[in-house]
Amino acid sequence: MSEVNRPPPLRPLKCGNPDCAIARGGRCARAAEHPQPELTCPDLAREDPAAAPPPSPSTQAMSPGATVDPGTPAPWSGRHLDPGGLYDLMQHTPARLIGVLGPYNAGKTTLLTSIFLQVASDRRNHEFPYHFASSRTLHSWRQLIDRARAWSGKPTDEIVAHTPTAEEAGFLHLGLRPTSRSDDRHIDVLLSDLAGEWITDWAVRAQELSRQRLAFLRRCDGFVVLADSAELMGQKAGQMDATLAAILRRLGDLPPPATAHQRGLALVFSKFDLVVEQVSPPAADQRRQQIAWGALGRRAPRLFRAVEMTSSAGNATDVFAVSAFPRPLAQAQPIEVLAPLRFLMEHADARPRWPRPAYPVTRGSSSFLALRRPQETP
Amino acid sequence: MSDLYALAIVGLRGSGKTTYLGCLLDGVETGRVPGITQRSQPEDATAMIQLTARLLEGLYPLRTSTEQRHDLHLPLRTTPTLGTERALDLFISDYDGQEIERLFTDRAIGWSAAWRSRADAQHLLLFLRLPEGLPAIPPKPADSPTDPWQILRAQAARPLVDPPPDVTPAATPERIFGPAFPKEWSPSSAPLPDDPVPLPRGLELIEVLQFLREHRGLAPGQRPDPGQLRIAVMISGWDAAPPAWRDQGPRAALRQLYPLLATFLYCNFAPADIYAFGVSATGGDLNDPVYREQFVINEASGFVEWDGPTGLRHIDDIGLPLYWILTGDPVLSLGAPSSP
Amino acid sequence: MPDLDKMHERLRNLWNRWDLDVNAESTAMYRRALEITATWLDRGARDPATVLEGAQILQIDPENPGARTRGAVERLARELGTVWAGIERKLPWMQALVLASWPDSGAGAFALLPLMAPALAEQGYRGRLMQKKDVLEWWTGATQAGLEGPGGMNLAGVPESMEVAISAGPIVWFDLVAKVSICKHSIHSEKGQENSNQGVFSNVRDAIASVNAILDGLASHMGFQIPAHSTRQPDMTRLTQAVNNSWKFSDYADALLNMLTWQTSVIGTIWLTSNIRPAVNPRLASDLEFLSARRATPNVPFHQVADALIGILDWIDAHLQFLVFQQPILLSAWAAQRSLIQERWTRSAAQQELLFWGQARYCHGLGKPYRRMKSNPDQILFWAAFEAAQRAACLPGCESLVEPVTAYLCEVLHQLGLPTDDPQQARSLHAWLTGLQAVLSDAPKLSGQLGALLQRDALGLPVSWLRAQGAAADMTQAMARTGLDLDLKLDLGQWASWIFRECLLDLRLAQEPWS
Repeated sequence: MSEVNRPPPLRPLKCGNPDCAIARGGRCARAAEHPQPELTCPDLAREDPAAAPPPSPSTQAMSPGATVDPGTPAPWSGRHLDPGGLYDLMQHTPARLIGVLGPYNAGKTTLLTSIFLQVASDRRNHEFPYHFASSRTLHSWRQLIDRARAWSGKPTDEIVAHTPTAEEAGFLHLGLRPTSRSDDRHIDVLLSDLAGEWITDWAVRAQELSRQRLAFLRRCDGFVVLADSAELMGQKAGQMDATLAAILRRLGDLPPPATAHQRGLALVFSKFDLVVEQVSPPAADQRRQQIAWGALGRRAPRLFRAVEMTSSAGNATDVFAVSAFPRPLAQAQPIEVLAPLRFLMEHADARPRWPRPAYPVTRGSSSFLALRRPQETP
Repeated sequence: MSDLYALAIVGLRGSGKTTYLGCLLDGVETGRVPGITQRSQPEDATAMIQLTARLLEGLYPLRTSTEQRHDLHLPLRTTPTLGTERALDLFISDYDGQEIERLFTDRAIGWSAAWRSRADAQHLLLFLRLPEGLPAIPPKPADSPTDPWQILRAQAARPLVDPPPDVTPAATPERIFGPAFPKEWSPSSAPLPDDPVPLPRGLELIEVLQFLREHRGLAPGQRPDPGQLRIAVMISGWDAAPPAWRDQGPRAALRQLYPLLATFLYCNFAPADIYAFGVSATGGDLNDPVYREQFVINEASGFVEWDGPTGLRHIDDIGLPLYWILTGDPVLSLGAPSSP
Repeated sequence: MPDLDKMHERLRNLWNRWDLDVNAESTAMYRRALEITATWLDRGARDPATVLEGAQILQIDPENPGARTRGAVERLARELGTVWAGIERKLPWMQALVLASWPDSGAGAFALLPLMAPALAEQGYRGRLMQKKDVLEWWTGATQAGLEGPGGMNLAGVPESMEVAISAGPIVWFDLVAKVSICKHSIHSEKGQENSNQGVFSNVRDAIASVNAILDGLASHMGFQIPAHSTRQPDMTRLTQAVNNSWKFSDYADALLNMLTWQTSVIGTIWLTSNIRPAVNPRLASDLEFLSARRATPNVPFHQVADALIGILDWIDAHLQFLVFQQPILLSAWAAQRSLIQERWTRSAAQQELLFWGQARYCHGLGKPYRRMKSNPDQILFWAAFEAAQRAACLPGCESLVEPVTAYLCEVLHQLGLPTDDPQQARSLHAWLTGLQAVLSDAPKLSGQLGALLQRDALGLPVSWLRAQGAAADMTQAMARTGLDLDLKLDLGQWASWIFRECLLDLRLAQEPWS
């Protein structure tokens, strides 16, 4: 690599490359070419010795007749985050990472799209106690919505495009703010958007490549596993049951999360509108029992057994019936799409009070200590 | 010695930015914006003349193109209407709507130095257009949640047995904390199962606002100190809004028509620094020859409506949002109650 | 120089537990950042602002919007800027660095730690699952280090232990003295463990412990040396009567005899080494002889014993000078112990004042009994906590007494009829702050020291923030400024304790000649 003697970068660091995280303390997107990006990377905004000092903020904005310049890339791309972007964001805050898993065509991206639409409409705060506050992937959300709103309503038509089996895993981002006005936080939530083929591959074969692609699962704060209700009620029910059970068992084998909280696992029977004539969704307190799901439960014995196993492995589990797109967007609301996310956030965003720390009282300080009453246990 | 104010105007194409600016400048010249008056002629009045020329003939100004971006410097003086008189230099520039949309789609270029420098503006005027084809009656929230699965089965809807957990009076934040917290709209009710899913509007505006915040060093969710960054949300074409929508007021319209933007603003800016105004810069449709004639001879003017402290208020002075940005809440008691 | 390897090991544990993204090529950067953070924190021994800011960094919730622009974060980010630009955007990393390099010693201003996070002491934190375990461990360990030894902070100049070279010569007792490692923290608890027969006096700690024991007994019964802030004197007649009734000379006679023996030894040593026999004040000699003869007598007027002991202390002060040319360090050791004795004496008097205040239940600030302020419990709470803090601030090493003094404060409030531990009466922090704001008009101003610190950041210090802002405080800003969950439920006792801690922090900062 040729050493280029470039002027020093501007402080704070600013980089024109939307994939670069160096300004946020992360890695240079071109680290391979530039091991010392601050010295050599051309994308970094650098001091111009010939330039005049910048005018004051109030006047510089408004200098009339300013020449139009094509400008630099936007601060971020707005597309799905790649694993690099994911880990970069997770260094800034304790972001909540939710793994959305399921076989091909289980409705993962459709569920994500519907979740965004519900959060965006801000009309279900009693179901989901968070407001939308930000997103680093607005462009991707918009693409999903544009596709979904063109859906005709025919079950055979795709609602959103299938997630391609791309090079790297992709993640969608939502910045949430609790609706409680005494809770002044901004919580980054990252939702994985993966091709179903990868997930099946990982669950069934668990080869090195699959493990690497899904290495982020170890860090996940919760999982949504989607099971296509219509498939389970169809002719290939046995195969689907086995695949889903394999996914759940793999999740049960993951090491427990580094943080103290319990990991949530939501099993979602997606496209439930297609089977609602045959199956009644059970009451909340019976949802984890196979028998409560009637015909659907009878066709998924391995799946419910795997749910029990992951539950006994220390995960908090629940089962949901969801219909993300019962009819085209202009005709009906989705059903229960926020319930799985709410359930996962109850664990991933648990807010127990900390215990009172032990207070040492020094030896021989004083007879005054005798005045202290013994600590009452709560 | 004068105070310096830098305002940036943000809005998508057709959101009424240029029309408002033209009417505002004309109003300052003719005294129809009585709160402020010109202190002297600006050094370069070309932009002012461009903006107002067509309005003088009763025509809408032409849309801003990239080459015609307006960077205005107005030497002004406040009048006693706004309290103590003072000199102020107002710098106004606008973000071209087409550029905003292009930047959202194609991020490779477009975040220009001029854009970045505008991000340092003290306050923002955020223009929103009333969408086409609004229903005459705003959608009403559901009285009680219903079981959507029952609807799907084409059976009679029945109410859920359990009420939503956090609507009991004991749990509302108001009961616990009183009014000292930032103002927030009341919690929304659930939609009916067969209500359409609203598609989020204004994602491009949210992205630009996120870029501005990033440029200003504001972390996501970080509210600037009160008074540091006011945003007047200007819902333009307010005269064309159906009466039921106007009766609800611009705050409710913002919430219902741009819910994602509304929550984004609430979550990222001091709630006291966001105010929604229903703005009609021309007061009517200039494409209507009768109205155009009235407008040209100054018999008709623009107006602003807003949710005042005691109800909806109306004023035939389109400078009011600007007054609010310059002086804060006291001006919100100007005008008169809006007639039904 | 801090132990870099140890800090690096701690950091490694933290990044594993917190899942921080580690770049293997950046080891040198991490080590340099640790070194800078440790050097910055080390200033805390003399600079309370650093301790406060360090503690604030650990209290910050990284999910709190604007956390990266808080004063404490900006301060450390400036220090680290040369090696880790943009670390303020990676708050978990910054917190891990601070945790890993927090000094083990609690010397100097680090002793203020128990006063710096009332929110932590009153369970004011929730969530933060990732950091909870490590921050709680830090808190317990760091406060333990700060609280060990009531005089820890005031003995910052004295080495932990003194290794004294043994000089060859005929002075048997002196050699024994020299072998003693005088630990500043152990003096109160460790009795002389060796009782050598080689000398007339085996262990200087025995002697000093004897002095301490007698002085403690005496001073705790004596009502003089009232702290300057008090505007009222205790009833000396009643006090003297009470002391005389409870004083039992026989309890202290053995210790006194020990002192006499030691004094005799010093006389003998000086005589041996210099052929000069030190004189003893005839009055002191007579007193000592009198007391010695009445060892078994239960009651001797305590002032007589006090006079004798003060005489002995002065005598030792004076005559140790003769031995200094041989072992100068002995003098500093004695000075340190003398200062400890003085502290204990002062503490006893300050305790007496605090006890009296609690019994009188009179508000000096407003000039009326607390019982006459019952219509306004918020006013009682603030003034009682503030006046208790005033008195506690006179207790040497008062940081070690925070818990018992707050317990005593609660007892006083309980006596006034306030429900200190009734969960039904618990209110949100927001409600308590609103109540407090209404009664702050007559409150004493915040000290300049804490006021300056709050200018930078008021994280975790809502009471001080309110006091600094006064009636003009914008309560809508309370959550952002203090970084606390304002819906935290506190009972009256917890809230009183919270005010007490912050007031005490303010007074302590104003008291010491910090650098």
